[in-house]
Amino acid sequence: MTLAGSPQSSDGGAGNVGSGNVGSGNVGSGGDSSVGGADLAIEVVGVTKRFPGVIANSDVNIAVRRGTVHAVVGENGAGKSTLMKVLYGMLRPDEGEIRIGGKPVTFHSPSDAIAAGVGMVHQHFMLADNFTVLENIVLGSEPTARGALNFGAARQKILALSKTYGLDLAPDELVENLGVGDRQRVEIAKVLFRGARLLILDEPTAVLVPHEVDELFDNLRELKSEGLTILFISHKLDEVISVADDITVIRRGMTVGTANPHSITPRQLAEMMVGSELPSPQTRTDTVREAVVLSVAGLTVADADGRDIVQDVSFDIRAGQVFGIAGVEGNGQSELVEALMGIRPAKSGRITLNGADLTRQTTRERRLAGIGYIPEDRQRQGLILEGSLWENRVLGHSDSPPNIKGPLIDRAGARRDTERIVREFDVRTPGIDIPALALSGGNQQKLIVGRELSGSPVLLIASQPTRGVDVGAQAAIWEQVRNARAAGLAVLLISADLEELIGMSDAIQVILRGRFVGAADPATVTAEELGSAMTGAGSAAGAA
Amino acid sequence: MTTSTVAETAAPAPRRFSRTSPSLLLVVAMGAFLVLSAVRTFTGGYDLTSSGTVAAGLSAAVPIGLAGLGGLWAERSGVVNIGLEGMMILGTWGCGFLGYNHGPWAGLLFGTLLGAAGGLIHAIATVTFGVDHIISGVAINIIAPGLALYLTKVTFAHYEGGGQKQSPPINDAKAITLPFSHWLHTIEDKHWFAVSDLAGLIGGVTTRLSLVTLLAVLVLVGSGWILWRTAFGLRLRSCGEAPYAAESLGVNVYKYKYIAVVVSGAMAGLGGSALAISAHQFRDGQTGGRGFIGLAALIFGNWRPGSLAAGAGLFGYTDAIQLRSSAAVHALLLLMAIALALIAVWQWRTGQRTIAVVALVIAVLSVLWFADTKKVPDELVGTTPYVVTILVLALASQRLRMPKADGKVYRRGEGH
Amino acid sequence: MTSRDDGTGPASQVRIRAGLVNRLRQRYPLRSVLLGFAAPIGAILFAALASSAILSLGGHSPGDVFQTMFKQAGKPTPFVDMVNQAMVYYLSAVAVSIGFRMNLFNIGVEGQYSLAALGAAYVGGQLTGGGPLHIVAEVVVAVLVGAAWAGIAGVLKVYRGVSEVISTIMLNAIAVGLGSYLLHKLGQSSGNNIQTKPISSSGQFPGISYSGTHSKIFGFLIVAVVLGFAYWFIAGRTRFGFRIRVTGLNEEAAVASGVNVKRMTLVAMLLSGGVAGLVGLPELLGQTHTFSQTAQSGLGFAGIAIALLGRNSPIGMALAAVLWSFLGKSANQLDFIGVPREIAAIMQGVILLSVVIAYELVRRYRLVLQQKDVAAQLATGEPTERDAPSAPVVTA
Repeated sequence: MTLAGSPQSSDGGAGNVGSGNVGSGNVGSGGDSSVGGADLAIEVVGVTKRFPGVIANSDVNIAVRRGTVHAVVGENGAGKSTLMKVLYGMLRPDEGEIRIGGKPVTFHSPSDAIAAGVGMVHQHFMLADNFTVLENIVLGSEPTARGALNFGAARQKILALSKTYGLDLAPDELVENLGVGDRQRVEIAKVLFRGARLLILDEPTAVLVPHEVDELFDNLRELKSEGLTILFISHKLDEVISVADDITVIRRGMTVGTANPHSITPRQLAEMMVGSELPSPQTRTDTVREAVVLSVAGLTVADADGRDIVQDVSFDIRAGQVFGIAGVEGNGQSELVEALMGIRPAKSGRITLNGADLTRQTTRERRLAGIGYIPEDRQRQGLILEGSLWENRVLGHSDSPPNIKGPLIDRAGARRDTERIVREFDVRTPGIDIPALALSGGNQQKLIVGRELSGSPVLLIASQPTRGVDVGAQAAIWEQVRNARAAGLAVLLISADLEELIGMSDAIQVILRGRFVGAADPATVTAEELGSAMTGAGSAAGAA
Repeated sequence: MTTSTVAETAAPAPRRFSRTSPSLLLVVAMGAFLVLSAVRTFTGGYDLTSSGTVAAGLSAAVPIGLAGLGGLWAERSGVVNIGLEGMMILGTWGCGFLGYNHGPWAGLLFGTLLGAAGGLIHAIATVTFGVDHIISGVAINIIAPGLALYLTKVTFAHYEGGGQKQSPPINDAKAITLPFSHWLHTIEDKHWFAVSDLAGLIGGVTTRLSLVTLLAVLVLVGSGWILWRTAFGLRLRSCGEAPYAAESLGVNVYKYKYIAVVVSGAMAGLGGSALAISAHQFRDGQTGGRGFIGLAALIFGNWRPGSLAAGAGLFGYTDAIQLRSSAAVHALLLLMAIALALIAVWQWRTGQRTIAVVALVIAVLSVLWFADTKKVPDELVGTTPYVVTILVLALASQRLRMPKADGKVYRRGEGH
Repeated sequence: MTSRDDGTGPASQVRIRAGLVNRLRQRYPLRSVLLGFAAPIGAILFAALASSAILSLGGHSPGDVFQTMFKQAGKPTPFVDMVNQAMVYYLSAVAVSIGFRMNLFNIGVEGQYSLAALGAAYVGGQLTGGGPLHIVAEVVVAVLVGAAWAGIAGVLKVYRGVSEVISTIMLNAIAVGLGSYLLHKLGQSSGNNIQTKPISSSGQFPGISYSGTHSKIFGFLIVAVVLGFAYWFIAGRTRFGFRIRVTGLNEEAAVASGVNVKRMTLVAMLLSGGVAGLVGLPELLGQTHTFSQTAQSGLGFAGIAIALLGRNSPIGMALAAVLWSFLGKSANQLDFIGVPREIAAIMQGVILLSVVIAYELVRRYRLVLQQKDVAAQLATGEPTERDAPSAPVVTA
């Protein structure tokens, strides 16, 4: 299926595969698991799943023992989510099979998976906010009596579940009144209500604050002691090591091995996860200059309900300096960034850029003053997915050259500059007229980085700049940021990837519940120290 | 335990009013009734609460309420249906087509079926093809009147008693009168505060009550029961709140949306039929925007059947009152001012100062208008439902809660 | 996937042979252009089929019907009529499409133009003399009234989060009542009818003669054409137009990129309402010179249909307006062969419904093709690359 006349196609490349579904039940991948199926809750044998241009899973093998917590770890984009969707019947594998209790099963839909005792707790909660806890839990498998929904029976069963597994549910509360941890317990209850014996939890801790994580792990141990099996997907290694009985590591869509959580260190696990070619984010040469570019003093930001979500934060970023902010998601980072960009008003405090007061300026004025912005969610905030690449080049820069001619958009100029970005930042695309949504995540992100580094900004605000991109794109993005830093760019870096944060930053502050709680010296601090400082457990790690 | 966890860690969800309890509704209804009595006594607008007005209001409310109910079914499943007007038109024509020689009930059935057919088209466009709900609704509103008139010309125009724009007459549906209702009329004529008003209210409901009206009430109650008390209803509503969550639990979202939208069309068709029966024939342009008023009643009723019925009742009532007495209409201004003042107080207390002031200003203007004139121009009375809906949206919108995924195009398997 | 145009080949090759033809082909690949036409043509064919079926069921010959309609359209008087009607439709469509570009659904063009026409007629009737300024005053009043009425919906949307669909539906109905109230208040009776004081000759827009008929093409055509150009230029070429487009496609990205979305929403609503205010003017200034209850209604909904059919493009909407007007006007002749003219409304509705379905199908098909292109590019770009499956198959 390779194109005639495409010169570089040397071997029938892994990527160039049609989207054709090979159907399910394509068994016959050799190596029948020798372990008896009896004590295995679920087995994944040789599962391969392809998408146009991408192989998301390639010959994945996992064996999960009954009554254990089994972790599947891998980087963002390693193919974990695809695997979970295959396990839950949301996607059909192109090759390979899934066995439950030793017998091969084919799931055509989540209903089949549910019927087979497999339940899924999604990373993004699948809850109806305007329904009660009870309604959310029973939906799809409602007990009925004389044609009507039997609320009494449902309530009893839920309370019983709640008691058995320590889930602490209030059946008649509206879900929208619940906190994140409670919502997650509702998700778990949904699965248990359907009689699931195997629970898949997809990145369950991503949205939790530390003590909620502890509560979740208590729940998981409770479930395990009742004989349930848990498949736990994560890329947070210390959590995995603390809760899992077995670990399977996947990398680039393939299983690369298993590990024993009692003997492995996070470092070793990380190496398994990323492989030997781990690109280093190091920026050791010192490029920090004297001039302060961004100065934030006493910044407080309120959320929609009027509560202070960022409190009295002050810091300076100098030219040529990368200033990192470490913190568990949801501790005010997003709001801080939005306040700096003028998307969200500052309640009090002062923001100055090269001495000019920006506090009351609009987003547009701040951008014109030389702030580049890589938003944390590129598809939601960083791109017009239906727009062409060159239009996306203009996005956020529709008031400055090379995109404009007076009040007009300079199409030719914008197109030329887009070609430049595509070239310099290695954006893999057939052209600049295709819509951004046709690109892969990594290439979308490279386009954004290229755009935000154009027009010689003085400050770059980079929120999760390499989230969900492949290793190659990650290295490229780091390289570009490093170069800009050497040229005197000030960078505010916010990342959940602590290696990235430590490697790239010249200074780090830890944010917790909207406050800066301590500084860390990236030259000496370890990811472990930083991690515990983020949870408020450790004192400020490696005092700067 | 749960609450303390929430309080410490996550953002406590914004304060929200609990679901309106029946007892609260009762108190509000009684309060409104007393105010109405007082206004009636004070202004002498006797028709405000006369049994004649109430009866007329009730029959005017039926088509509106049924259209609103159609909206409720569709929107609870997440499909916005502004094609209600068109489906209603199909219903009026259908009722005329079978009604004139097979009686009102055959007409009603056929009208309902045609409405359902309109709903089916809307479902195909929005659910199967993922077309924007508003666009599909607009298309249906363009097709339906044309189709009805076309069909009228190829059918009714050749029938005795029919015409280019109307059907031959349809017989009336049976009506029932309860034996004690003439007593009530006696009490009503005394014009005692509250007592006579109550007599008028009950008298209006129990005198010559059409079986169609009774059917509409049954449909309303039945819809409420199905949507809120059965597993089917829970699933249907889940498609309007969180379709991808429903999908992840094995609910066939397409199926429920289809059912909901077809039922929605059937309700609108039924409403159209009720209209045709009460007018004793099909006429071109008969619906006169009642499909849209139904939509207004749905919003006014916050997407719930009980308050939807109250909205339809209110709009039907203003419709009736306009035909009966200009003094009564005039009194309505005062009523509106009182309602606005109440909103102003409530908004002030919830901290929405600007809105409270705006509400108060409009209230004062209404009072001034009331004091300055003897009569509200007829042309403006017909706009009451729309003005009320706009005011509710503008001044009390935080009380409104439409289904969360309402109007969003759902594609299977494209959730996260 | 066998033969494809050069545009998708390796970038280096294209750059070397960057002739004009190649660039055009790259920007507008044949496939894409054909796909673009497939939808409306398919929809029209489907509508012809559907209406043929309805006609046959009613015992009429579709062939006769279509023949009568085409014959009618060729005669001078009906032709002028058709052009005039198309112009009005076009203005309405432009008004609607300004909203569409911002993801705003201005269903209220109906109410906006009727109040605006009333206002313009009243002011025009009060003024005398003043030459061209008389006309300018009328136009300005119409634009202001239309914008103000739409502005209510805009303010409700921006400050109270009220869906403009709902508020404009309500405002339409209120406009009907308010309009007839004001007409009674401001108008004078003439026979059975109440109308505003007729506009004197200086406030009338001169028409354009057309050979073979006494009917004149409304001079307002010039305004419509200029408006079309202005719309094309502002929407497609200016920074303001770009901000509108960005906001319509992704509001959050627009905010992050520095667009003041609230202000843009209000501005777009005002602009849409302002243009809507013009809808009633061609007829008012070119023919009736007075506003009465018999003024044309339903133009707002036609505008929605035409904007959708023409995909918000000035040329597309012009073509769609002509089609709409052709169907509506030529159908009048059908009464003479015993076919109800309402068949035209059915055709219009069916075209609208099938065209939006067709556009949707084409959009999805196009996306699949583009993803294949990108996949091919990735494969040839670096054979061993196994790119991260960030979003498996992009969801639209």
